[in-house]
Amino acid sequence: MSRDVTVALAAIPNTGKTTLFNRLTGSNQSVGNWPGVSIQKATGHFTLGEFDVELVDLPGAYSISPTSEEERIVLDFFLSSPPDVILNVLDARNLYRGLGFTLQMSGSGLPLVVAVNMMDEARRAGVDLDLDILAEHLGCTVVPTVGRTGEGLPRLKEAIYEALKLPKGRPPHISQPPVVEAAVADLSRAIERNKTSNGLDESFLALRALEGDPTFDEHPAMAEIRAAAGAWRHRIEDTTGLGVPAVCAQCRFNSARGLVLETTRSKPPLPDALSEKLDRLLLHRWLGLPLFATIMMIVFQGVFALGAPLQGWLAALFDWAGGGLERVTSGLPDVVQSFIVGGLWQGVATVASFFPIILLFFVFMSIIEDSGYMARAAFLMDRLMHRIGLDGKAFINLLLGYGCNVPAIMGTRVLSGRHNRIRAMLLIPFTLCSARLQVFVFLSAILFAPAVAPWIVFGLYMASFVAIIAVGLLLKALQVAGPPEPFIMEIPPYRVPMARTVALRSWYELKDFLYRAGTLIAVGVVLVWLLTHLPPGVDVASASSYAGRLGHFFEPLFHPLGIEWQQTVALLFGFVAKEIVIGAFALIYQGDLSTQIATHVTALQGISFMVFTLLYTPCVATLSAIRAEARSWKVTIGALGLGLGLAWSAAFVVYRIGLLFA
Amino acid sequence: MSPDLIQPNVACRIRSIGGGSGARLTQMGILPGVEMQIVRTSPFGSGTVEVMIGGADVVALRSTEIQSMECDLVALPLSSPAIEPGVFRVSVLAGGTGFRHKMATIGVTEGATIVVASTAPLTISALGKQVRLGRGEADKVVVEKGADES
Repeated sequence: MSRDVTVALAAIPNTGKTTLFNRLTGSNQSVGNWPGVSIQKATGHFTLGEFDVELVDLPGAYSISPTSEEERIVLDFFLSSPPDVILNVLDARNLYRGLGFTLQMSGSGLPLVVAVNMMDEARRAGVDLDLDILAEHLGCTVVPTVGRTGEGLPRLKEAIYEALKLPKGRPPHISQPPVVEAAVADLSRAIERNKTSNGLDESFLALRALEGDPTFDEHPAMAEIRAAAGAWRHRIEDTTGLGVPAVCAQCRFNSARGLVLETTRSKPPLPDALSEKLDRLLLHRWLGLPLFATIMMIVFQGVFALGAPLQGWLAALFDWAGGGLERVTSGLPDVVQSFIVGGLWQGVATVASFFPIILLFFVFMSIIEDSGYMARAAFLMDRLMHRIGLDGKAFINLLLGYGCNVPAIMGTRVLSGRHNRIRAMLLIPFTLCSARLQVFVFLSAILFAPAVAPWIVFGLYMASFVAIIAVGLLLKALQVAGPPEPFIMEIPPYRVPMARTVALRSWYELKDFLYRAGTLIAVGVVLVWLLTHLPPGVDVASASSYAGRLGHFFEPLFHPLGIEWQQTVALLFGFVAKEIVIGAFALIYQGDLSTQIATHVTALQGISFMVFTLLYTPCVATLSAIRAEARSWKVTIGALGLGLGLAWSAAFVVYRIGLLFA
Repeated sequence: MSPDLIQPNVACRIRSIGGGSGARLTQMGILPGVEMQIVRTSPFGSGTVEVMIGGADVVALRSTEIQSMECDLVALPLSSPAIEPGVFRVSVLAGGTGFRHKMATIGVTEGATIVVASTAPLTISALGKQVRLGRGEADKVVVEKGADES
């Protein structure tokens, strides 16, 4: 007989929580989102004796007196579905920082297990801890662990097993100002009378009521004590001159400081000497930026130089299989066969073509993040990015957007706060990705002299920078996605990234892309096939196809930009993937492509077309990624509208000004 | 803390935390009474500042957040605008061996007492000799208020 139980993994950031999560659940994980927000929710399963454990990896939080979206999720989780056991993680080298949260967890009254992680690093730094004293004060089992090697994991599982058999935890006592004590006692009695605690300690609920976060409003305990809690809150504020969360944080951290003193047998020689030495170079006022540029160059080259041949092989494989498919389906009517090979199969191939880039992107991204360099890069770039309403971390996403928008959008997940994530998602589509570059190189080579063509491409890069800055300032002025959260970023010590963590992360990102964005991409590809091949019997993408009719229909809209209906059809193809624009031209203008383009399109029209191609709708894969990450159609449609609007205006201005000089 | 005081090697004790980030910092254990040291400032105009909290945690903040804190200065480099003529104790020499060696020859060692005679140009006297210090050197000589001043 197995029993289903929930264990919540709750800790502050940078404690090796995810490594422990991977250790405990192995490859038995699934990734999703917390309801209504763009924050990742990972759950995993493992068995422990008669228990079937679901391990929920809660977002990193410093406290459940929430000051961020992540912390609000954690609070909501504890209030609405208290887990059977809480697994909390501390960084052995710096207990103080994490203990504030640990004390809040132990106050919940739920059985608690504390893993003191990164014991190896602490030992190397000369930290000597007496964990028995810590266990005694916290009233729970404390297990030393090393997530990287798996040391202490059997003991940790044992401790979780024992905790699962406990009915309730033993909240430790934290000394608080008398007025807070009185308030907690009074409210606790009211909650006890009404029996609305659902497993959580009454004093824990009383404190949440006193803090008065809106998250608590839904809880059944709230209705009974709302008025009393409000009155007490005012008394505490009047007596102490501080808000309730601040008063309680001071009490918790005072206890934490005492606990650290009692637990630490030797004075630790902090901080990390190697990190300090490396930072003196990597964060140097003048050398820091060139070194950062070099490192990003290597990453960029790594992703795209390794990715391109892999993509090539994959494309060849799909072409070959497509040929097979064509033979197998040769008995079917032409339209049906073409639909299967050119529509459905092409859709699958488009999804698959992103695999190598996404995999490589996340391998490099995880290495940068796990090594601790990500925080340094963010520190270096924060000042510049702050001016366009983002924080330093978003710079890497924007930069990698110049390779491919899709993984860059997926990578917004590591940014802090919804504000930064949404704004980065809206800006990334204006980066000049490698697919767009192919179109620009091709067209400018046909339309301009060899000496001029590179300058045209260079100008388009500049246009992309200008677009990002302009849209960034616009979003900032309009306060899109709300005012920014304060920027407070921990700078962790440097570490050697673990192959296992990097591989697992990349693999899950790939799977996630397939599940969440794959369908939408395939649907988009099929849709464009239908538009260009129907009604039955028309020449592909000709004037009489639906695409051609659409092109004619929109002619009044595009004529002021110098874009003819044939190019409008090509733009429609570009929605599938920007590089297809070239292939579309070949379909539309029969005959020798270069001469055809050179005779049909003037240089000015070409520039207008390229400006439009740079800025207009993100490709279907990028849009799908935005939809999957933002969990919002509003943001997705916003990205689409923003692109189209900006593309039209920019192309209009360029073309009209150009005409004055032509 | 006034913006012109924000420079590397300044150490202070936090008296109160205001501004938009106050609640967040409090929940991270960055509270009144805790010591904060400025490690470095970012390129492009020092808008982002790396600080060390309580001698252990390294955190990056915007300088506007630091400006909304009230702090008592504990130690500061000789180049700080808060330096006025008077007696100081050298707490840290934030430089390499070459720099320490050079400073030792003029009597500036960690723990030594020096007198700032004037701030512009910066002139100090140690071991009874008057010496002029350059800006680069003054950045790296971190001092505390001397005992015999009070």
